[in-house]
Amino acid sequence: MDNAWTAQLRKGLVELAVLAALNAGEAYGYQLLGRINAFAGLNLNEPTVYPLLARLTRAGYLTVRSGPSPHGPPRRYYRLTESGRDRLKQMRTLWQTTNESLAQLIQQGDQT
Amino acid sequence: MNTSMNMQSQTYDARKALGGYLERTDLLLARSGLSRSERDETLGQIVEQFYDLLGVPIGEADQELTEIAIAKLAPERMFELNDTMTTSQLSRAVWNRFCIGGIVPIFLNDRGHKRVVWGELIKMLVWLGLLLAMVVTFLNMMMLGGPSWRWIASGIMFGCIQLGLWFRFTWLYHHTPVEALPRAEDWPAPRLHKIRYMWILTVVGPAVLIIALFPTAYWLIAAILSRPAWPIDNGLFVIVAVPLGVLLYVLSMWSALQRRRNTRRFYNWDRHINP
Repeated sequence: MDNAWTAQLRKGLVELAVLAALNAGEAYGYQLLGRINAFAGLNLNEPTVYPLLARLTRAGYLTVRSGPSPHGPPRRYYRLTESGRDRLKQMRTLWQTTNESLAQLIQQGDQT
Repeated sequence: MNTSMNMQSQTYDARKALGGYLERTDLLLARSGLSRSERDETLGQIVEQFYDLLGVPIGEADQELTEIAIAKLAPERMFELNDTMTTSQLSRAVWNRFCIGGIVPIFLNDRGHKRVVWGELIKMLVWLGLLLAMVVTFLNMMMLGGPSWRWIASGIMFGCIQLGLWFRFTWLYHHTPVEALPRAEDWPAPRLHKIRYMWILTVVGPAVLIIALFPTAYWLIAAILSRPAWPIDNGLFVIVAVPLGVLLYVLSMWSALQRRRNTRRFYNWDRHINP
């Protein structure tokens, strides 16, 4: 598989993946990575997800609070805001439409 | 007593190991184009992750546990930044590499290394050329006392060469895969320690650079003294040469300060993550 194409595809989906993972409930950075990477193919890394969390927080899609950690420094827990949920909804609708259309197109190509 | 001392030593070793890892990661993230705040966020989260991976309070972690936790942080994954690299990150990557690039050795064990090496060489040529252009301008001003066709022609020639090299340099960076950058595990920490005394260069370096140009200037002054007109009397010479000298000094000082600031950040990683 072409690496550039895979990277571009993941680049477009990383924000949706992060918002969707946080829709399941608040999480701290490492926990969130674990949630995303539990699904084969997503495989996001730390320098991709961590700066994105900061950007989404700045944009008002996430809120962050500090919580105690059993061993180390306080953990930062991220949670979706209303605006974040709206964005997730929009992205999900667009993704589903695109996905269905693409599936139909591929199926059409297979039938001919 | 011995147990307490042993635990203190383990804490120190674990913190030192984590500090070293973060220094290297910060440097490489900077070279990959992340801004200061993005790097702080990433490093802060990595610290959290490290404690999670450690599984025990840092005072109770022995060397083996620490090494396992750091290995799980998987430094090689830090170089897949092209997943989310934006144009601003890319331009920062070029800029950061310029600011800290001089002290970072180039490794030849990665895919695409040739382009990185060529990029570094071209960068050096660009700056050497700019310095030469300034010296030539300075000399022309002293010799001729003002703009002339020769002065304009040499200016255009240098400008074209520099612009050509600059475009080539930019193109190389646009086409250099992030994975081609040096890997964290290859970063030789002792090399970083050598620049602890960079502050001396910060102050003395620019002055040395200016003084180094003096022999040429003295030679010219000697040649000029035999001329009937002393070029310094020429208003244009003063208008052009003095700001040029000041600009050269400011640029050198600023560049040195940038390097020093970056170096300090690597050593004070815990201060900006956990103020």
